[in-house]
Amino acid sequence: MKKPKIVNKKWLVIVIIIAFLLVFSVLEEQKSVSARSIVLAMSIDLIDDEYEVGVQLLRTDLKDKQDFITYSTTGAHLTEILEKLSHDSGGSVSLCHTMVLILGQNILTQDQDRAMRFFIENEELCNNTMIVASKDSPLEALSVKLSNGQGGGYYIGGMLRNIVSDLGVIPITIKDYIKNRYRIGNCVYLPCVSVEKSGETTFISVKESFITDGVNYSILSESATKGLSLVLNKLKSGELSYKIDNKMGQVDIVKTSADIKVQQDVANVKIKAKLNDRAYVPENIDEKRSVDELQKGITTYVEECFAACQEKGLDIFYLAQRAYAQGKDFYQQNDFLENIKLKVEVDITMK
Amino acid sequence: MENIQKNKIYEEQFLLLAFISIVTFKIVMLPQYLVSTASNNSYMVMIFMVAIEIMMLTVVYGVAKNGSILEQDVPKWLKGALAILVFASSIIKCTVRGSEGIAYISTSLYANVSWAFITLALVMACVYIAQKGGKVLARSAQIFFWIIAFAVAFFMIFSQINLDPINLMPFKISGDLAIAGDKYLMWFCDFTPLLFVTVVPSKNHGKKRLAVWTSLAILCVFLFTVGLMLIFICTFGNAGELMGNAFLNVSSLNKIFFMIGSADLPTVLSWLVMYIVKFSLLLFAMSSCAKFFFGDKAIVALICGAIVFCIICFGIGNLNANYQLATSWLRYFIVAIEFAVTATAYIAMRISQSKKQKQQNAQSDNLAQPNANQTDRAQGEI
Repeated sequence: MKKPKIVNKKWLVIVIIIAFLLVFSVLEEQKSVSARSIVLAMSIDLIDDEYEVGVQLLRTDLKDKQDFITYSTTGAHLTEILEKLSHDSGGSVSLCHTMVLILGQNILTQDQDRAMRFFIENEELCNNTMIVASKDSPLEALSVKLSNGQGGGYYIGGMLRNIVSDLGVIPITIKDYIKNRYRIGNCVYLPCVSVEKSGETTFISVKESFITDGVNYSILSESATKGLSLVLNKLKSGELSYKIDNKMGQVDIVKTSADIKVQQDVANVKIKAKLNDRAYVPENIDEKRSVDELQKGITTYVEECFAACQEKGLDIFYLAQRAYAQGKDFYQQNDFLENIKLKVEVDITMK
Repeated sequence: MENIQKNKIYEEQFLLLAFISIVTFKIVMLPQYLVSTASNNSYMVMIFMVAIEIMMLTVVYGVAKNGSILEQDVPKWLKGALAILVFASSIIKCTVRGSEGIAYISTSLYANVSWAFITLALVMACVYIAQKGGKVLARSAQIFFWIIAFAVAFFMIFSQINLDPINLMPFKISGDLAIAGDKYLMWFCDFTPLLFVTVVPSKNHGKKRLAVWTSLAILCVFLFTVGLMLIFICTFGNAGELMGNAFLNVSSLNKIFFMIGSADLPTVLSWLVMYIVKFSLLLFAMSSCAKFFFGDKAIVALICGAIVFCIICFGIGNLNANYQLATSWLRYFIVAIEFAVTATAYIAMRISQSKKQKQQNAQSDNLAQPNANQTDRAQGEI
């Protein structure tokens, strides 16, 4: 006679596995969400060979009000700094939801990417985390309390999403940053933020761009930044303004595209733009004149951008990379960038 | 007989297992390693090696549709030799692949859990599936398939990747491709575990349907391996050499991040289930070989799992040691075994089939001879 089965073998195995997993979870130091300090924004700078790191957290003890709290510390190693910040904030610092990382000029030009590699290789920050350069102290940009009550870091994180169409500045993520650093010339572009005050009002301005190859750097003006966005095919919407006979006009960008061809001493930039003049057209000015003015304006933006970077030896249009992609080797000459002449062609279609 | 039933799988299930077997470990660390050696043209290594793997799997299919290699009518000494070789190959792959998966889990799911705990939990689950046989393995793969499909759909709907095709240029065939192909051989050539299943035609499906499924499976393999490699290079360029875990890095670039923060759970889960199937498949091959010598007992599978656990936790212990092991001379040993065993199994099966055919012909001749005599006699009587 067969013995009746007391315990089904399958369920026994499942129960054993669950028991093991539960025991491990209890034994190991697993931090629950409530025991973590979820960082919304972060800043890093290099001061006298030491890192100065700031983190901004959302206060969870206030029920009705949204408030932010910023912790900062300095140290020679980032692991040690993160431990200190965890201790100060009372929870394990968790960086995977960080919206924005604000970098100081020193860290971008003197650190040789040690800090950035730390975050990428240890997968501390998410690939989608936005990064910006700060004109002033990054900790100040992070911790400043703005007139709308928000913390600087959190505000920048929220604002960066629409920055390219509104302001012509290209938002970049950690993934873009590291990709560009590995290109020939090592040149990267970042939005450049600055804290500004007007009377009682404190606000953050993001109109310029910070360009660096890890050593040299250049800060592009607002117009040069627009030129950069157009050439790198990033400015696909937003507005362009122009001036004729002291009258202001404005057009909406419907679509733009750019193409760059590199030869030994010349780089030909062709920009095609589809614009809509419904935004604002000055009185008594015909379309042809507006188009001419816009063409001149765009050409100036692009040339200004290129000249500012060429002067500092920054290959911001990735001409060497483009030459390499075409299978040419003239980019290896030391004076390649110095000798390049830029030819800009703008083709505008009004809708 | 019970063994044959336990390891009997349908053609579609074989395709799914083959898909998981090829794809699982080519989408995690391999893209990073290939980019670090062959930079922007490294996807060509992937195309070449995956094509070879698919071709070899068609040979495996040829063997498996006639039954598991250990159940076929081949000399016992040959079965024993093949079992020893596959056991050696599977134990190395199990530990190398196992370590890679555990590193993935320890970085993606848990921050502070030691390898020993993760390995123990995984080995237990996978030994259980492996012990149950090919049928349970294939059925698990079928169930898990929906998680993979969901993750792919999630990725397609929410992905936000700016592809930069300039990173793929210039198209150049150089010695670096051969170096990359040689150095990372351990991540390719996984055919032998599927020699231990018996493939039977699906009940309601015709040949046309199988052809469609096969084409789809091949397309999906190329999309998952070569397609991911192309996206990875377009997205990260040469910086790909810093990006461990290509699958997670590519799929984490989504729109959801701006709404609720990092959302990589579907990817992690989908890879995890593929890993469980693949790890179980390797353990299944290992335990099938061991059972050939020690009998069909659960303890044999458990001992195999215990050996793998000890090597992963106490022998390897971290991703760097795993990389050293995977790129050592052992890779040549593994590849030689994989090709030699598959080819030998096929030849042995064909010889055995032709012998059988001859025997059948002889038997039918013998049967036909008395019949002819009888007819002559009958005609004489008329």
